[in-house]
Amino acid sequence: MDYGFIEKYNQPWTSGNPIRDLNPLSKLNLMIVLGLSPFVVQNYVYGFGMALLFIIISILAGCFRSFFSLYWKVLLLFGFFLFLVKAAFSPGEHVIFQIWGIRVTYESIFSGLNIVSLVLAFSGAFILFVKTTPMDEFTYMLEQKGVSHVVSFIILSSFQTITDLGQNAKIIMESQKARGIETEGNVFQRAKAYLPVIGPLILNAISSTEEKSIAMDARAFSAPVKHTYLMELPKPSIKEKIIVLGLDIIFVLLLIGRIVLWLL
Amino acid sequence: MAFIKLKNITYTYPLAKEPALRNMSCELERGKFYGVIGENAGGKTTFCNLLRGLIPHFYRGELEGEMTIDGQEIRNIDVDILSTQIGYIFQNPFTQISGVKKTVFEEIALGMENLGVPKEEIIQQVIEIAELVKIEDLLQKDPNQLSGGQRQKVAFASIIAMDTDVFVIDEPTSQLDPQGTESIFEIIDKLKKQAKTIILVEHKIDLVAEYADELIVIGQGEILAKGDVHQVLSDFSLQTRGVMFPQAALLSKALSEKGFDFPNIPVTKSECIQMLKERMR
Repeated sequence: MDYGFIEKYNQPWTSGNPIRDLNPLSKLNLMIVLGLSPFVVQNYVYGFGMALLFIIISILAGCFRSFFSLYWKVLLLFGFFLFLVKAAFSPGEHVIFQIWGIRVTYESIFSGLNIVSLVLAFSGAFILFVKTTPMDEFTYMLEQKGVSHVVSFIILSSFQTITDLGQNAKIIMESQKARGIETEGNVFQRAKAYLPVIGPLILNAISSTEEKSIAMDARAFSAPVKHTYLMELPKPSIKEKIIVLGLDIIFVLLLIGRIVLWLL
Repeated sequence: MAFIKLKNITYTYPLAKEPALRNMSCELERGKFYGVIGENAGGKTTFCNLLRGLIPHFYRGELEGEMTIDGQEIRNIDVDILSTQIGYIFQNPFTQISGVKKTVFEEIALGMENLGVPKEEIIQQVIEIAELVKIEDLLQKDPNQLSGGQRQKVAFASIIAMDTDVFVIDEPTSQLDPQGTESIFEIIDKLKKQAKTIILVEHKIDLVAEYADELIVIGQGEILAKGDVHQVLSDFSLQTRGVMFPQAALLSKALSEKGFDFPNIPVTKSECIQMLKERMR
């Protein structure tokens, strides 16, 4: 048996991609700063610029496909819908057209663009963080900073539960199909097949939570000793620290500027 | 000296009308291998939960009687400390996988990480255990994507890697083929030789009879019999209580009925062959 892969555990874990290899807490910091900055700047061009930036970063991080497969859904579901609602109903003076109580103005369109840019920028930052940061690495860093391992387990198992729910739903749907129940077709047929599944799915999730806590107890999860870790992450470089700190300072300055403008 | 003592233990699960365990009394010694046998839904898993302290600390319900582990009353015991002393392998391997580790290697290491074992020792121990349980080829796989049998082996490996003094093992071979079952019993035998205390629930009576020191027969929540393997399996009246007997014992019984008497009732294949050889001389 070739145990070459074990070498990974003897050294800090890296993927070889400089973006993915940023410290998880640096990535969290950047996500918050970059994702929230459009809320401070309040300019839709900046917001869309940030969204574009996240797409470019996802390409550089080598996770464009998984990032965009989720991002376009946010764009379509929330972005487009929000834009329509805002454009149709926000107040404004320069009317472009109106019909059946819907009043589209220049102001409402800008308001729509503004809100969409905010949603896209923040959701882009969040999705990018999730796609470039393995959750076990993130929780490892949290534990290194003194966060309880119970909290880190809750984060990890919550993410796993999402995957488990999807898999269980698929299994139940397949067994429904095997019993001759129509699970495909139009939206109503799908909903008719899916609704009865929700109850067992939730009950199953609740009981598996109980089982999982016993399983973790069997692994001495709450043993009153200091835990050790197989995982080891590289320490953040000076360059990384400077970039994060620089962006943090810019964000704080923007925030101060926004408050000053608001007070004036 | 008894390590675990039960005196008149009766336990009822929350909301249950009938007790799952009734008036149980027994003593378990360190370094012995106890086989727990009996009909389905007779209380064997509940007995395991009690020995591991999950009753009354996790499953609340109503517990009557006295029970001590290493001299400490079960109700006052710190279950977090108990988890470092008693390893528990569940009946259902699908619920024993943590779900938070990406590879089988990390899954096996999890218990040792929680026990604060140094990294170098963890890596060495995982390799040794994987070779012992014959799962080296699974080490890089995702534990959540394994088959039932593979999960059972990984769950087994994960617990024995923690190297506790006592192991409570609930049907560890339910999803394994005969070859896998045999290898699990060989590992349990190795643990026994390391003076570990083993409490094993298992339906494969031929194997239990071969490896165990003592048997505990549980049915309808009661201890129906407890003692040396030969002593317990000489009582064929237990067949009426749903207890399976080894092929060797059944053969000797059938031959006895035809007037072919044995000096003792054999419980293993080798004992049976030996006795037949002696009888035919």
